[in-house]
Amino acid sequence: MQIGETKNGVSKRINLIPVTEKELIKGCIREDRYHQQELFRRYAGKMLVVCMRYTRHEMEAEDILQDAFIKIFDNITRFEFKGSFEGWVRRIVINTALKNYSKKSFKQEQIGLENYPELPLEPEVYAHLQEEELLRLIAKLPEGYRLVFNLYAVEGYSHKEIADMLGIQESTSRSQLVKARKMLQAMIIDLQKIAV
Amino acid sequence: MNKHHPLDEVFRHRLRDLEAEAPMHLWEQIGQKRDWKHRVLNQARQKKPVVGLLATLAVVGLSWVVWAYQQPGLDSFPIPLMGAQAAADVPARQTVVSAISTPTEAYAPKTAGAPPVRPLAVPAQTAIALNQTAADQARQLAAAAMPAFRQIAGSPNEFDAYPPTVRPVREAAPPTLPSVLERQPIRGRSIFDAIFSPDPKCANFGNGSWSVYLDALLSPDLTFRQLQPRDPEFAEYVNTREETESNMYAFSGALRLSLVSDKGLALRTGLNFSQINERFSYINGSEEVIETINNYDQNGNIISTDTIIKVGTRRKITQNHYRMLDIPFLLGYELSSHKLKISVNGGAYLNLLFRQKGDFLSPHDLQPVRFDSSDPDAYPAFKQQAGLGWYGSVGFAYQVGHNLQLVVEPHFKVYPKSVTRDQYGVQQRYMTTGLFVGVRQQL
Repeated sequence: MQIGETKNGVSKRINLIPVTEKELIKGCIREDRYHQQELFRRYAGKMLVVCMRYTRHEMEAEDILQDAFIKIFDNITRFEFKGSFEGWVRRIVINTALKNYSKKSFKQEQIGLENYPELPLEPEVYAHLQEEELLRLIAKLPEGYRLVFNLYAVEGYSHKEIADMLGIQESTSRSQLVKARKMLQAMIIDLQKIAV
Repeated sequence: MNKHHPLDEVFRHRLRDLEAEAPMHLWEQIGQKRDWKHRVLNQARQKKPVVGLLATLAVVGLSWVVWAYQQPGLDSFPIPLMGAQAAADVPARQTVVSAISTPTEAYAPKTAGAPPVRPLAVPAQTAIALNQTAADQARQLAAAAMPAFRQIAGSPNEFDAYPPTVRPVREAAPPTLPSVLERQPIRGRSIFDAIFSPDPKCANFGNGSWSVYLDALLSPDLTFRQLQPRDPEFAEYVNTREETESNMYAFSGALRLSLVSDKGLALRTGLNFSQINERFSYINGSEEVIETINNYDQNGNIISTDTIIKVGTRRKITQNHYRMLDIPFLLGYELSSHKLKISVNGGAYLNLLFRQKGDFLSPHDLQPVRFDSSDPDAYPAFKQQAGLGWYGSVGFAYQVGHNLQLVVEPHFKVYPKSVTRDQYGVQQRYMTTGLFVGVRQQL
């Protein structure tokens, strides 16, 4: 083995062998900074989009993401290696996002949206929509609509689960979803008009 | 699964697994928010039952220590005839009255004018002879006290039937000595008691109280490092590290709180800081330095040029530091002999922090790389905590002043777990031995 030449004062960042998810979790349980950083690197991007769906501004989403990761590192010992770790992380992120809202959101925003018509749209209309546009549309929804729509349409929770999570009636959840859809459709039609 | 509206499908399909680039300043902010205080509090929150139990134990232990200190000591219970000092401390009247009421008069015949008589049923041991001397002194003290008693009493009584110089001697004979000695049979004592507590009067009079000591100790240490490849392919790398790194010196300092019972049991805890210094020396190849010197004539014109080529070896030398902060949890046993105390201690060292800084060779290209626990961009080879270590020592404490002792404690400490991360190809373990020297103050 030859000892090679070196450039003085220059240290290299060496990529280590990729760690498995289990090793990553165990490392985080040991409060190992390297593993924590790796966990952040793996999930932060995806979870930032989750946060953005629940907020209006990216800054707000970043704050939620930060709080969520602090909770993840604090409570990672409670993960029992049953089920998907990503699902567990996502649940914490969603719960953190939901904490920012209160029941007021649902009462204050039930005005005037009955006027939006239910307009069935052609599938090709959706095909032209970019992800960024979809995010912007969600961000424009009132808070209550946004939460219910995200939880039901994107995350796949049932109305009962949503009612439990948000502390509202199931019927409220249903009506909020319907209104959210109407509003989104209306906004998509507006987008189409502008494009034409 | 929910029955999905076409609109829901579009949003779910497009957004559910969408990723964005998370800014790294978030990671730094998370690190700042999750400082050591946050982590300690979080640990405490998560282990509420354990913390509660420990807190309860601590409160109970502290209360017990306080209670034990408030209990009356041996001085609060005068034992008049246990020895000369005790007899002297007790008022004369009290001494005589207690002597009269004691049934141990049988040990000495009541013969007027007879010389002082030694107790009869006393085992022939050296220790007894010592106590007999004390008993004689007690008799003399009691005899001196008798006339005073008669004056106070002012009326004839049974004492008047005896010559005053003889009777008090018999009455004041040490009634408790034989019984004390019978309760403390010599054959039942261990060899350690015989060596360190030769006087049976001192044996087993403890009231279960604890003494609290504060130790301040410093130690030069000798370090033994073990490098072990996790995989055979790293064996040669280990050899290269051994060649480029060497021990320099190590030291440690400790502040310890000791709780020592009167039976010799010792519980010790506190904080221990230790630092290991190593030298990384790397031959950085040879280097040529070319110097050009111009030679001038009287008019300042260059007439020739000398070229000097210097060839040498370049070395990269770094002093590597490994610093540890530990909490010791030690159990010990102390033996006392006058001013000297000898203790044997053992227990665990819980590592709180393990910090490193320096250079070593990278396993990937054998180039020097920097490791620095405070720099996230440095090579991440080491853990932030070294885990649990084991400690053993023999301590010698010599009383040099009121409540102050000099302490010398040869010790060893082993960290059985590797201080390197699992991803790094080499396991690195440490064992240190050293000599603590310091002072111990009784609180």
